[in-house]
Amino acid sequence: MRASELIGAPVLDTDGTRCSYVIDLRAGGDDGDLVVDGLVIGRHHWRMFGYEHREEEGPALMRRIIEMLHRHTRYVPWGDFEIDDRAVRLRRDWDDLPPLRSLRE
Amino acid sequence: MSTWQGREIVDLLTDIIDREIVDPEGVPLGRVDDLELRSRDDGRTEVVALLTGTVALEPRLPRWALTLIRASARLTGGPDDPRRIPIEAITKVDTVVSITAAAAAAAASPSEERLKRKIIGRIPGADHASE
Repeated sequence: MRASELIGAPVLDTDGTRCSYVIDLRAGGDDGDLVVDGLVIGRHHWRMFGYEHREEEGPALMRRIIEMLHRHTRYVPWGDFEIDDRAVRLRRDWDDLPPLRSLRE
Repeated sequence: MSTWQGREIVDLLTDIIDREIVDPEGVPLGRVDDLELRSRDDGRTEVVALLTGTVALEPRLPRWALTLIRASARLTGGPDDPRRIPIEAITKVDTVVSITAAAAAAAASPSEERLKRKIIGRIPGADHASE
């Protein structure tokens, strides 16, 4: 599989309605390997800017603007979705997913 | 928490894809156009390689751009298969992705080599004639 097959893919809520798109793949280290932990999904196709990471603090105004743009962005851990014919099908309701911001607190 | 290249969180599109790939001397080799993923036995998915080259970029391009890209690739004797750089070859990730010398040699662009040989090399003075 390639990352491009997931990035931009439609995300379907548990009732089958399209609720968002895959914006990014969030990964982390695992004994030297780079392992995908989950997906960043959002109502829009807007890319992230890098300031969404706690270690990459940007100018306060820029952070505010980006947080506003991504207020409908969510994080869904690997295992809480399945990949079905180039679409991502959530196993948890969109409303139950944590906002991206809460992961940095 | 375990880290990778000193980072706890790596957003693949934001932090790796579209970044320039450079060799240990800082010479650019191309951009990260896509990433190859593999399912592990434990059910998790890992990144195994960087992919670079116009063919690797195609899935993310709009249709109108594909026509232009393919036409320009044909002019240089392509399109070529994506060049694959194992994830282990990455030595550093910041504003660029640095890779080892061995991986850089293996990832040299075939179309760039053809361009140098067939066109640039025929220009008088191209072979360091002034030295």
